[in-house]
Amino acid sequence: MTDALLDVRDLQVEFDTEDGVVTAVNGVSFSVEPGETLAIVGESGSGKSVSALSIMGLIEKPGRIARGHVDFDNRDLRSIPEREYRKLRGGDLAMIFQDPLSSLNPAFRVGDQIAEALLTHTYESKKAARRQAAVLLDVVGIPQAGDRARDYPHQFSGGMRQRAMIAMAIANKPKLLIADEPTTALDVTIQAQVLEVLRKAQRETDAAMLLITHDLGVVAGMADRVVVMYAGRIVEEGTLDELFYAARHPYTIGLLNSLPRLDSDRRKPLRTIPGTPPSVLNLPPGCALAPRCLYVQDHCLEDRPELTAVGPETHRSACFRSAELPALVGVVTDASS
Amino acid sequence: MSGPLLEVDGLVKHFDVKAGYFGGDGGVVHAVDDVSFALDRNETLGLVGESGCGKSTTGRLVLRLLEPTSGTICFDGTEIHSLRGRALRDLRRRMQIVFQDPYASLNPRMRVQEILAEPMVIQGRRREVKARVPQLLDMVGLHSEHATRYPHEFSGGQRQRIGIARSLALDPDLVVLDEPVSALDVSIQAQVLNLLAELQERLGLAFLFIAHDLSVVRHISDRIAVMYLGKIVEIGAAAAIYSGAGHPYTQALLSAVPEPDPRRERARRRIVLEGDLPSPIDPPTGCRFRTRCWKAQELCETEEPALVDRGQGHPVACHFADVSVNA
Repeated sequence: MTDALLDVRDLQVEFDTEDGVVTAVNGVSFSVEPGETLAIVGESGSGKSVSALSIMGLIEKPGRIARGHVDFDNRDLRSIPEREYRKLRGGDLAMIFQDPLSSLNPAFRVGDQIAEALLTHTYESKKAARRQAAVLLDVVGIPQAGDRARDYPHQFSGGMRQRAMIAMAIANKPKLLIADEPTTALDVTIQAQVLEVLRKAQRETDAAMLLITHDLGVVAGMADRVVVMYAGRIVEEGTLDELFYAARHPYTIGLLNSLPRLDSDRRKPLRTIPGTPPSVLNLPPGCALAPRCLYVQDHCLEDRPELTAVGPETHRSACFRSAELPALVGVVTDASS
Repeated sequence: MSGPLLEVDGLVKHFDVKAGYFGGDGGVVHAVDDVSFALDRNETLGLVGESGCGKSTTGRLVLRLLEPTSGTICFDGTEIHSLRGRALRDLRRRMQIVFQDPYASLNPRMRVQEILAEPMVIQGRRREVKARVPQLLDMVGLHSEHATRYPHEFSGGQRQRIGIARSLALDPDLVVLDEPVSALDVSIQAQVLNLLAELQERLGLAFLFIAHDLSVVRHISDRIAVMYLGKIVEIGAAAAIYSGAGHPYTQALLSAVPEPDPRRERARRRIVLEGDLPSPIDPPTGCRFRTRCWKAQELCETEEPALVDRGQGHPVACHFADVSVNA
């Protein structure tokens, strides 16, 4: 056992489909230390959300965890009975989803839904739970929290609903908060508010966070460490600065380059990653990025590179050319500018 | 070739809301309220703002997909509101739209060649179809063998390319791009943005680029109009808006954009706005932004600030607009 709060080892998640077995997550390992924020970044279909659902024990048929370990707080989550799992969910292990409207029950008052989370885990008195629900709504910045606790979800705006979700998630002081695209559905000024609330909630509960997102801007402002996923596998892992300033995988570099920035050269063509992500039904035999990679060599098409250390032990990349990549990227930059 | 291609003056669009079955008072949604701007040939005007600010409604009014409550829209010198019959059909040929959702905006039962041919068929130019379809596919980076496939056989990015090809079928002068890349993955977004810039250069198109993502808008636009609750609060050259925003809302919007740069994120001074967007059924008196503004004073409640140059070099609708904040 390690001292990590969450330790995911060699996770493989498969889904049965009409077209065959899809391996959505393929041999993924990562860990989260107490209090730290780990971001999992990837585009649609990269396996980032499925990884999160696996930790929560929420993979349902036709999906299944085919292999791997999920250890949380020194317990093996794959072997505990469902009854134990239920105690963990919303307790030590809480999750915030992208769409708050579909995660809140439209038929119950917001405050009562938060109180229910409290009664399930820590509170016995209904009255005390209701009072605490209002306190929590106040913590996440809902004005007149006492009154608004009696509102139904449809009476809340999108940003307020997401705050209510956060209040519910932190109700029982979780050790780990999993946030799956928590601000993707929100407008930019509301996103800024919700990210601020998320930071505050994390501070006040000392929770570790697993942040699932496609938005590298959100990652830059929230995470301590980052894992980049592509086609079901981790392609690069490192601290925030390692990833953003010394990336060693062509996919990470490509993602960072393809973003228009507030201070970039206007109208200069963006450097894109050519092509489209592969179908998980039909992955190339070698490196999954090879067909789109600017630095591809013959053997990349046949052999798959393992995730290996590049420099400090926190930084790992799955690319045969990771060592020469900084020089290669420099050459390409010069040629294109 | 004189005067701007598109000139919008005092545009207003109100939607009536009926009282619902469960009560509710009904009323009037002030979706677009006194909006004016001009767009030149071969120019891109970015229209930014958050949901409900009226940017998409403005786009649809410009295309005459909606009838305005009041105000005028001149396209190439002609007031479009009075056009009927042939003249209207000819106008429609010259202005096109690309939608946000590349899944919903392509008919799943039509092959790509039928999708691309439809505008020509409607305009009575069926004879051009055969030569034009491969041309259009090539223009957007697809292959002629894609013509016989159905939309579901394509990825999101490729579908958006098909949507763009369809908008170009009739050789338009103006294309309204309504959040054209916001449904796409990051790596695909950049491809489509590059394609749009290239097409504009090649075909001399004017773009009305509607989006909520400020980094994207800045990248593609020559000029930018920032909308809040149905009104333009600031309009000017892209560089000027980003380096010297005068309106508090523009400043807040810019400071809220998460940047993919940890050092800047750590150092940044964030303006986090209080509260939510007020209802467009009952917008605040005076300045519509005052309920969330940290600079608001009594004057803001009683008097609506005009959209005029207050020393910024571009029009700003704020009584207390900053002059060059980023100096």
